[in-house]
Amino acid sequence: MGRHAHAVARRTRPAGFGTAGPGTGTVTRYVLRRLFQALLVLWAAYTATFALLYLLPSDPVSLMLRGGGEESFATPEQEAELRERWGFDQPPAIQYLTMLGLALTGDLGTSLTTGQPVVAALAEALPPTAQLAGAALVTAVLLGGGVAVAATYTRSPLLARFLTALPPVGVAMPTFWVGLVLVQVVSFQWGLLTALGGETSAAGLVLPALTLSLPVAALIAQVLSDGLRAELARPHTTTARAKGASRARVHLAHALSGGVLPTLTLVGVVTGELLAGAVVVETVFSRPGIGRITATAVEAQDLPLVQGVVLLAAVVFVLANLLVDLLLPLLDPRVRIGARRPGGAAA
Amino acid sequence: MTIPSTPSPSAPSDAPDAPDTADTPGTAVAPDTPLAAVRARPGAGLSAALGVFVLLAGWALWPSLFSAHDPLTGDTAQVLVPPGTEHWFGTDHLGRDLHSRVVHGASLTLRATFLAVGLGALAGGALGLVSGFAGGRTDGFLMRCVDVVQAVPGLLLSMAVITVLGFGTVNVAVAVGVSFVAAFARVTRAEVLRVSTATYVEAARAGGVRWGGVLVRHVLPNSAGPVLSLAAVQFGQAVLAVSALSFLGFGAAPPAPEWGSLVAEGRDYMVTAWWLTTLPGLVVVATVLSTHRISRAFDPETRRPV
Amino acid sequence: MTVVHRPTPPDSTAAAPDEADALLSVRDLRVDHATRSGRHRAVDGVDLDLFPGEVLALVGESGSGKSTTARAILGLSGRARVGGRILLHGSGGTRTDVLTATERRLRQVRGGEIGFVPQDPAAALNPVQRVGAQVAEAVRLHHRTDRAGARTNAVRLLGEAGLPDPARIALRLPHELSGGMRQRVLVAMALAGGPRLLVADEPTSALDATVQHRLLDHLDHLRSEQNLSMLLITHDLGVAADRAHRIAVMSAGRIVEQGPADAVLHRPGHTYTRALLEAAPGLDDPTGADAPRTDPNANDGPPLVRVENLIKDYGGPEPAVAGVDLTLERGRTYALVGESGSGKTTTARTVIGLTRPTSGSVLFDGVDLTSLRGSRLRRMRRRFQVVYQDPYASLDPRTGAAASVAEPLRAFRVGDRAWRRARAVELLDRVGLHASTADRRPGELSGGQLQRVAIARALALEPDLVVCDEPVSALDVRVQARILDLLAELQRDLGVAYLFISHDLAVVRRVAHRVGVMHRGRIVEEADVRTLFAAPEHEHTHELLAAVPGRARAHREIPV
Repeated sequence: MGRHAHAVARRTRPAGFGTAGPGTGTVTRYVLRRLFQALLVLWAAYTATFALLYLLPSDPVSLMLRGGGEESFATPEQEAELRERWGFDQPPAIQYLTMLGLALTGDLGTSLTTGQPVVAALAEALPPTAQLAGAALVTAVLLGGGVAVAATYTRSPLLARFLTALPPVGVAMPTFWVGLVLVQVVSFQWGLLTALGGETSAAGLVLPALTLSLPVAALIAQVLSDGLRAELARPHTTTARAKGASRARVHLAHALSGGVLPTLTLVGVVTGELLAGAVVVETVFSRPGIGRITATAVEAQDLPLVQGVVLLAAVVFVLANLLVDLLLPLLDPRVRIGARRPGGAAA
Repeated sequence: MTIPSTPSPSAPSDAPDAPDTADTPGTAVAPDTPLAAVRARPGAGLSAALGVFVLLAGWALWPSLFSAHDPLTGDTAQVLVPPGTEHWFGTDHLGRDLHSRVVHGASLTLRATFLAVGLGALAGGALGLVSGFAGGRTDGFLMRCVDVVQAVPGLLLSMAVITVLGFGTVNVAVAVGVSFVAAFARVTRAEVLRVSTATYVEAARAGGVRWGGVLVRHVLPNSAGPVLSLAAVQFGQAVLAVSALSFLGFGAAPPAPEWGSLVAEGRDYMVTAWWLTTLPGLVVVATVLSTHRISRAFDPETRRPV
Repeated sequence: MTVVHRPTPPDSTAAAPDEADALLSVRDLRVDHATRSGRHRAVDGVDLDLFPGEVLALVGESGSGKSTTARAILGLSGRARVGGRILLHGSGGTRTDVLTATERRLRQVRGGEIGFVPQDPAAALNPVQRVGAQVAEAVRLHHRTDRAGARTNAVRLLGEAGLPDPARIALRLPHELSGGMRQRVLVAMALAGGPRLLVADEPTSALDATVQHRLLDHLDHLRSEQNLSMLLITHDLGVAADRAHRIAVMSAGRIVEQGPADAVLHRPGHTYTRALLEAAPGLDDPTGADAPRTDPNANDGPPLVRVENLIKDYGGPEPAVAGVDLTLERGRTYALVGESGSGKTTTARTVIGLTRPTSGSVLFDGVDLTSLRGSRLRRMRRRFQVVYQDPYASLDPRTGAAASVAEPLRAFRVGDRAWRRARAVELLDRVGLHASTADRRPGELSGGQLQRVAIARALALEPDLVVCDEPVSALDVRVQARILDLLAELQRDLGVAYLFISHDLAVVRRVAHRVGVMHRGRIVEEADVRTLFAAPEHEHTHELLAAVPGRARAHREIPV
């Protein structure tokens, strides 16, 4: 059947010298198109959260007044007045359009509990969380990458087995528990890095970042060692060995170059997850940040703030994936900017 | 140079097609059903995982059989007792037996887990099936929706749902289930697409089998494996998500002993009573690890020896 | 088989030279793989000698241990347990035992003394590296040179391997090259370290016949120019006959016969070799007397299938099928031959309504199939069935053999459940499968057995036409011969017509009554099978015929 048809009919296109980089114009156009797509995703996310948060049976005002399931102290008249003030007495379509219009001007409403503008609240909380998530991402890449390379490179079956068993354990540990156990052992027993109390110093960052990074590191280790194993089982690594390359060279120059690609895609996806993990980690370590805001907003059923956080997560996800897509052609020359990513995630 | 002593390969054999059997008997020597795999080769790891799973099921279904103490009433004379023969997991600040609380918590946490995975698998599976089978615009629209949902981290999505639904074990379960829909939809769709482009499906169609027959007899059975495997993986993820949300205080109201809230309660006594946080957490780890191991038995990809 | 006369190469009649003269001598090689069910001995006491300037072909079916032997010679057995001796005699009288050598020494041996040409060029190159860089790496591993020097060298090697415009090819990625070009890149890479010995593991079996032919010619040329020795591993006796001075036949981990090519081919001493030779279709002289094909079913009735001006355009640079006319008589076999991409499979799929043509008509027993849709087309499907190339893929992995065979009966509501089951077992028996296979699933059956199940399924509704799409090309040669015999027998007994798709002229000659040679979407020549082989007219037919392995020996001497 036409198995080789592609190979035969393949266009043979002259490649550039050295790099296969397309012109800067192509890249700009590509980035612009992707940014436009990102806006579409954000609009869809906005619409979805609006539908979820504002259209379900419970309306925001009664949610706010009965936050946490308590009885409302407000009289029906007061409730109605609140509804009018926030605009919740309008038909849903009008509410949606009004809010979307405001959102386009950068106004995501005001927090129902603090009265602070949502955007301002998020902006204030973002730096410590960004610091935490960044540190965690770097740790995860180093830790997970190291375990994966070591597990596939070692010749000792015992060490290989041990290293291979690590990722499932890492994925299985609840983040909140890891944080508490680390505090218990490192801070209380060893008296190091006393981290509770919301310090934002470098020492105070170590345990939270490590906690947040562990599940991500485990995922990276898993996906990267699978990728490496798959590449090492492919005939081209045998070819490299047969031409006289050393094991280390085959491992790092040949297996890694292809085996790292799924991991890169994974990193794009988990960057968004770090934000969710921050909710738990910031609670455990009593750190300020997006995570704390989210936990309290959910507790108080503060809809505009929750919506703001969800949108922020979507922005992070979309940007991280855009970055990965821009990096991918550098690592995989088969991928050309502007061509559809095989199996790509977000639109 | 001839070596005539070798037995002739065309030696008589009872099979009428004897020489055919000399060529490699297929790559798929692994048993065909997950259960067969479980029965055929329960290695030490898998046996342990199944053991943990059975024990947990026992805890969840008949908690009183597995615990010696009442989970809710404490003995004020026995406050913060370390683990020992009387109290396996020690006691908390109210003198309640931690082991009993963990055993009774299993029923709350695991029920929420089952509900979450069931909801995600059913809703996601149905969406994926429609998307993969209908193709075209329906597929395009559904998958764009899945893309958007997947742009939001699962735990955040669950929390958004909780914001609307309110607190409680069932609401947490529903929230976690909602966050699983996209993943199930994706995997089911991919499997349906993979199987429906397989040569044996075309062969069935060329043999005159109708689409309905192809769907029931070939597509569903052959795409079920990876979806089941995902369900088992998501079971572990659901335990983690449910207990994380419970830890954050969105689950059942105290004094109900959910695993996550048990750890949260122990936070205040970390310096003096390490067991209050450590032991319930270890139970969660054991649960997730065992479901992870069992899920591998369902997955034909990983059933090959490492 | 026909005896082929040809001058013998100089050293093939002489007594085997001394081991001392050998470049490589393998003694009592044993390789054990650890499997779940204990140790499996893949290679069991193999002795081989390879002399300077010689081509030794190691021939065997899949699973015979020939590739395992090749890997052992390169010291790439991985975790397998290896025993015996593999002595490599260096130019200065040095000797290296590959099995005991240090890793550092082995790295010099690999590429530097033994060049390796792997199977499957699509997978054997690093997909994310430019091919020039991959060849340059091989250069730098064995020669002291800087980056620029290695690059110049790589381009030179690519040119020597027969690639046009090597400087530009060097900048391509593997997926931008055709299969034949990739295999030439691998040859360049194997020669980069200046080895004296090439180990070529099925170097051409993934390629089209004409491409294979050209590549092997070029390899012969390079080999004689650089006075290399070659261990050629192949499943194809025809390739071995064309290219080797000596042949070693391997089965179940052992060498069952070894000797000068002529002796092995014409006076096979072992029953296994004889079985291989009988099954190898290409070795017969194609113009000679063929197995007589009687046509008891031939009749003068109207044709079963008439295809007129069939065009299928997928929107590529040229249509996949560009105006095909063909006529298939009842109870006869029409073979469509061509290389991959020639449009033969698309034509066949269109004939049975699996693909809709862009234009043209397909008259099946007078009914135009292209106008049928839905249930009317489905009802016609009773009368034409398919046998696919890969039996592993065409049978549902979860369905037992009898259930697969009964499926079309069930679809057309023929009989009740018990009757269908009985009929399925009967059909399995008809294709030579014991009743004990009835409930086995595809994973528990061999390739040949699976193809029998697929044939039984195709025959269940007693169709008038079966489309056989490369039905034997995924099978070992002896199994191929049996399946072809079975198809012929079934045709005699049941009067079924075959539309037979193949890239292999030798296979076609065994089964076809009429042959259409396809090239770039058109039938360039059509004739009765004997006419076509005796007096081919079109240039492309000539080329295809010349590429059939096993013919070269009849016409020319092997360059030494």
